[in-house]
Amino acid sequence: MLSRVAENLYWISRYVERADNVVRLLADAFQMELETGRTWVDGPRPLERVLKILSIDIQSIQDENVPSVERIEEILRELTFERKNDYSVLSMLGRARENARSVQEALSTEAWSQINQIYLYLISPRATERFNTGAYRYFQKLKKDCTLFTAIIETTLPRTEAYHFLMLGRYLERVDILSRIIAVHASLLKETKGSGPWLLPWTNLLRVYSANEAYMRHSGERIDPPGVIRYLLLEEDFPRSMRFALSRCLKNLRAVAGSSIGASSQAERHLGRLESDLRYIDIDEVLNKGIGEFLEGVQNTCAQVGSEIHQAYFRT
Amino acid sequence: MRSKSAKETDLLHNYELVGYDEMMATPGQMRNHYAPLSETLTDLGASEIERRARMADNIMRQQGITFTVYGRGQGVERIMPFDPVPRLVPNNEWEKIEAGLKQRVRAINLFIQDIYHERLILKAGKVPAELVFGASGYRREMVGVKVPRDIYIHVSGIDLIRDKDGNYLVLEDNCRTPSGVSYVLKNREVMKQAFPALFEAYSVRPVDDYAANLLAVLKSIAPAGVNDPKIVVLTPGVYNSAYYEHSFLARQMGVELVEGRDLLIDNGGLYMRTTRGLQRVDVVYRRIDDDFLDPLTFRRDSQLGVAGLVSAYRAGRVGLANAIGPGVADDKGIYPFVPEIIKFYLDEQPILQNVETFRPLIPSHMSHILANIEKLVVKAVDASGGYGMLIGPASTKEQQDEFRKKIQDNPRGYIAQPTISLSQHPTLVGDRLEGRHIDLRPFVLYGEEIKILPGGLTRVALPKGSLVVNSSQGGGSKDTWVLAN
Repeated sequence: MLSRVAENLYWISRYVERADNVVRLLADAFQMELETGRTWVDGPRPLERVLKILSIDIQSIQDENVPSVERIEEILRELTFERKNDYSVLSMLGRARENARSVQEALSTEAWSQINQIYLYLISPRATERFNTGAYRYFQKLKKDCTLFTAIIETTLPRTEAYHFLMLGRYLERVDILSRIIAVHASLLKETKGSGPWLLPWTNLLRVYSANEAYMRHSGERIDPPGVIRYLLLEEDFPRSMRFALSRCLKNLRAVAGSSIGASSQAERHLGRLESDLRYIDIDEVLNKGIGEFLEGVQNTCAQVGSEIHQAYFRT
Repeated sequence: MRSKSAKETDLLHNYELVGYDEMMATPGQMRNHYAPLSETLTDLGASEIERRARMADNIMRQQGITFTVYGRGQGVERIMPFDPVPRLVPNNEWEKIEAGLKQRVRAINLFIQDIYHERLILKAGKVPAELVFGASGYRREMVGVKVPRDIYIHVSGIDLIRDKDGNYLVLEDNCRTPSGVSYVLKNREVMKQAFPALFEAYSVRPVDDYAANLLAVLKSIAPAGVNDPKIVVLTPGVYNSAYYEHSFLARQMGVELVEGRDLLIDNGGLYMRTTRGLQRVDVVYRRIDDDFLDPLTFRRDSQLGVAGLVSAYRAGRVGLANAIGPGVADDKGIYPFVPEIIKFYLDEQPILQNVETFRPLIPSHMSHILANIEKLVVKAVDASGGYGMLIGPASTKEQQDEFRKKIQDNPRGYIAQPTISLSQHPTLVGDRLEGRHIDLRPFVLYGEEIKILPGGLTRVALPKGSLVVNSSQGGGSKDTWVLAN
């Protein structure tokens, strides 16, 4: 496969994965902002947390005490539709679509058509209208659209290099952004003990990942921060957990490497080490030693693996 | 021929006949082969036709079947407006077109081969040598170079129009990298989805095998000794106006779509950069003009091509479609000589006629042009896309004087033709059908044999009265059906 094509495929799925995560975070933050409204006690507000995860500096929403619904919607609109903002959903899906346009022949027609449709819908007046009448419902649609793209890839692409590069991008991005999200949530831990309204962000975090029901079924317990962190980091079977994503990432990296073991050995070593960490780690130990530091390590690994993949496959 | 029934008066209300009309022989007299189509359209009704036409547009947009229009910033992607009323070509008409195209392409190919080798036609004085050597498509790098099977024009698109009597005339030969075949295939696909009922009364010749035939042609030009050639389509990239087509063809043929930056010459051979290192490439269907193909040979500023490609090609280590150099046949200065060319190489009378063309080099033509310039279309021989053109009836006195002077200063540089009346075809305008001017670009593949895609791209000039079918200037397209008997 052409290096340029492989690189494009890898980035298409990174962008789609990131956009999907941002949409999930925005939908959740919007709900929480509405619900808790003026009763928010202290600590960062839900939207503020999202901005922090994305390292975006939008004029603080803490201004003038409590943001109005209009102000919240304004921020959400910017994060969804603003072209100038690199982290907006439109920017990310626009880049994914532009990449896909230039490698249509490596995707299936249906997959290309889906990403094209997502983008065309996003820039259409209908999308803005729908957003205005109900941002949450609009986000649900976007989420579904991204999921559909992923599903089309799963069901129309042979398991050849193209597929493996798509998966590599998707799962590496999943690990990366999950580590940022948990890091921001975990920074709350210091200030919180026990129950009450402080559990809300954790319940919602599960909901962001459609993990709340699975979590309850699995643990059968009440929701508590260490439990949620453990589930999202270490659960073997949950498709959005870090451990799950890492093992897929590794699997696809090996598939891409095929017989030429040498080329990717660096990336593989890094990923393999992290994967076995997650396999044998004890969550209490991590929490005691400092989850922040641990997650920082994960992010470094992701960055390193990214550049090693780049060296090995995209720069022939 | 059939009389108009009461039902049809709705869709065809006030239908005006101008020049040759594809559907109506005279007011109220429909050509027989259009009758079932007209009935089905009437049954569907205007609002249903409109609804389905919108659906067809949507399918195109969703699949990204677009072309890029330049000008504003980075270029805007547009779909080509799709007209839902198909053009019908009866089989007997098509047989004549097909025979004419085969004859023409065969002769032009012999001409190209000849001018890069023996130059018999120049020695015989049938075509002025300075016209050939001065043509912008002439490539002296190809002199004496032997190409596989002596074929230069593997893919061509020959533009046809119909005169007021319905005769098909050749307007232009496109022997370099003609575009539009993807629309032919997609128009058919969309038509079948949006208007299945229209197909009921007809038996239409399918177009699906184009990609397979193209692939066979490409395989046939692999370097000697290569049995399972690696074939690629070379595109200038995603911002090229025909990018969709390049990508579509690569996908249909199951080959890689590459850009210049994906390729390199190593040790005399052509390679592409892959995730597993360099991989050998044997055949390139290039959709880049000669000028940009190789910065070492042609334009040095080109970023689109591959340094060293021309010498690899000349050494027979890579096959190119089309070959380098057939652009000389696209030159408008050569066009008037094509009937001569056909007679010279094939000893046959041309089956398809040219549009009457005046050449300022001939004194009697010169005086005719100068005297009648307000009625003529004057074209610079080495320009295309409407540049360097004077459309007599639409020009001012000053423009006419300016062109008179240009022609006298440089008689080789121009040709003149009568203002051409294109045939018209019923086209959906709002809730009824109106006549709009059309042309036809059939596609010719030349490998082990010559194959012609039944139909071709029918382009429509959408503004009323307009003769401009070019898609970048508001032209649309419609499906073209060659009817089986």
